[in-house]
Amino acid sequence: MRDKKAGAGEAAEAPKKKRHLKRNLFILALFALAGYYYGFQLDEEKRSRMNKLLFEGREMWFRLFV
Amino acid sequence: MARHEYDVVIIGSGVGGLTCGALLSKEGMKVLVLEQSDRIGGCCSNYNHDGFQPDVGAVFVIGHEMYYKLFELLDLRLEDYLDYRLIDPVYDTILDDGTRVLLPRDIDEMAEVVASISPADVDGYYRYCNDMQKIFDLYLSALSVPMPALQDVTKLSNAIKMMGRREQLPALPVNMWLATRTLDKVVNSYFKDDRIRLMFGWENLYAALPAHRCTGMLSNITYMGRMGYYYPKGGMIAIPKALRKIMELFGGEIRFDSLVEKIVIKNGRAEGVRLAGGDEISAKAVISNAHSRTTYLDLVGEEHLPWVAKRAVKNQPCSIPAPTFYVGLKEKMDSVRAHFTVLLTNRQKFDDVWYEFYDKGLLYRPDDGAFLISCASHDDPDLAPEGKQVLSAIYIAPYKLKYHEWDDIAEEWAWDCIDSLDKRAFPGLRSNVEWMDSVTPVELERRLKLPEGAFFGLEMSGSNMGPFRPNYRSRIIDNLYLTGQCTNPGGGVPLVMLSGIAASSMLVNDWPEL
Repeated sequence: MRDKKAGAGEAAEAPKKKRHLKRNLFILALFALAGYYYGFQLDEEKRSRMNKLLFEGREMWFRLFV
Repeated sequence: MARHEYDVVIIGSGVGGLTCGALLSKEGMKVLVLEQSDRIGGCCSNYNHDGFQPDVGAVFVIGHEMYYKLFELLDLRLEDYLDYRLIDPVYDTILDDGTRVLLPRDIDEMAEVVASISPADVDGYYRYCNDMQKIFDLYLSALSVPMPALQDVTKLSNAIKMMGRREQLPALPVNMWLATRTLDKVVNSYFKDDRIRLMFGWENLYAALPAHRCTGMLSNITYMGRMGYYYPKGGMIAIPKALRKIMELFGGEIRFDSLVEKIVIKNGRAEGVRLAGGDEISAKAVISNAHSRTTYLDLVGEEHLPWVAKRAVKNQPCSIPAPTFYVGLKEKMDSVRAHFTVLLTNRQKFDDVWYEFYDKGLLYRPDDGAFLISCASHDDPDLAPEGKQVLSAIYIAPYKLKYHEWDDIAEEWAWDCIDSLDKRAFPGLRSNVEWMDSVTPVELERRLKLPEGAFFGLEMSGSNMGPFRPNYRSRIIDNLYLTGQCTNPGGGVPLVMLSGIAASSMLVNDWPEL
């Protein structure tokens, strides 16, 4: 009996999780768009600095293996 | 044991390689140093053109306390091997508005110079000295701990013993403050006048990074000028010469004109080296003093690297190059008033060199450029023929030019620079030139086998320091060790010495298991 109830609860949770996921993805996409737009608004000097920072932020972790 | 010709083969006779050579020979190991050229020293060497002997790379001794620590490990007296004297005045500085001042070593005399340019900055100057002295005291306190045995140098307990002293506490807040800011922000917080800011904010170039990208900790370099810059008798090459002498005293060997083509790798272990002629030298361990990119991509070979390491090595940025032109003068010039002359532009032009030119691969007009001119024969007349003088001028320029090839414009560019120096600092310079050699970033790469002509190896920014810099003990190839400016702590003679000590210590610790 208990197991059944628990199962029903899980089934009810599933569409909720899906909605959460969709909403989070939507927010992420909004942030990405805002970042993209902001990137274009920056002047060349700031953009190249930002690019360098992003590049280093990504690549530095590989250096731990050398 | 018997199947190896040597215990340790060291690739490169730079300061790092020779430090390892001297320390490991003293430990009783059979050491061989292989040098690709006919001169020792790498980035701490000199040229000799008909008696003109300008320095290559390092131009003065700073943080000489580290030298004493090395000699302590060697059980020798530094004074028996090196003779160096104080450089005072530290710089002859020429500003964009024509102001020319000799910067003395003494703190109060320097305050008078600051007052003569910007009286409002004297308070800031004393505040700056007060804070920097705390950092300097921390450094001295760390080095005042007696050196342990070589194998214990890299142990954590030793680091705690050096850095965990009570008298170091007052320096912690200043240290934290400096470490979390860029150099330009630190300098701006002490000084108001742009000319003073520039005078105290250009020495980041010794770390080969623009002020907006390098840590505020480097503001300490300028202060160290107050504590003393030194110059060895015989030029900077006297340092590697002394290390070579010590290494040979303990039985180490050195071979010149021996270009290493490959590190021999068997089952993921370094087993020796193969020379350009095809000869193989077997060794129990290999230490590379070459640039990390050269070590891994050329000497080890991409086939031995996992993709993570390949990507890391390829994408790790090199420091800026330090292109230089060397000038031998027919006669001594009175306008050369100090060992170092610094030509600075105004703040805007200095910043433009980075944003408008360097980053875009462009060359600026020499009149808009900053130069550091070192006159080796000023403190040691033996470094030039009698009655003559030798200068080396270091400037900022990118490795890759957008519209030119360095080889096509090297001469023309150097003469343009000489004309600019003639106009701004040394009247009559051009007509006084007997010999000139223009060493561009590309030429540096060729002569010293330095990728991108990067004197300081890898960039010394936060993402390339500490664990993000190649390890002393290779994480990819067994029995391979690295030393030099591409390892921690970075570029600069005392720092490279420290890297040599650390690499040797690790090897000595690993030795029973090799």
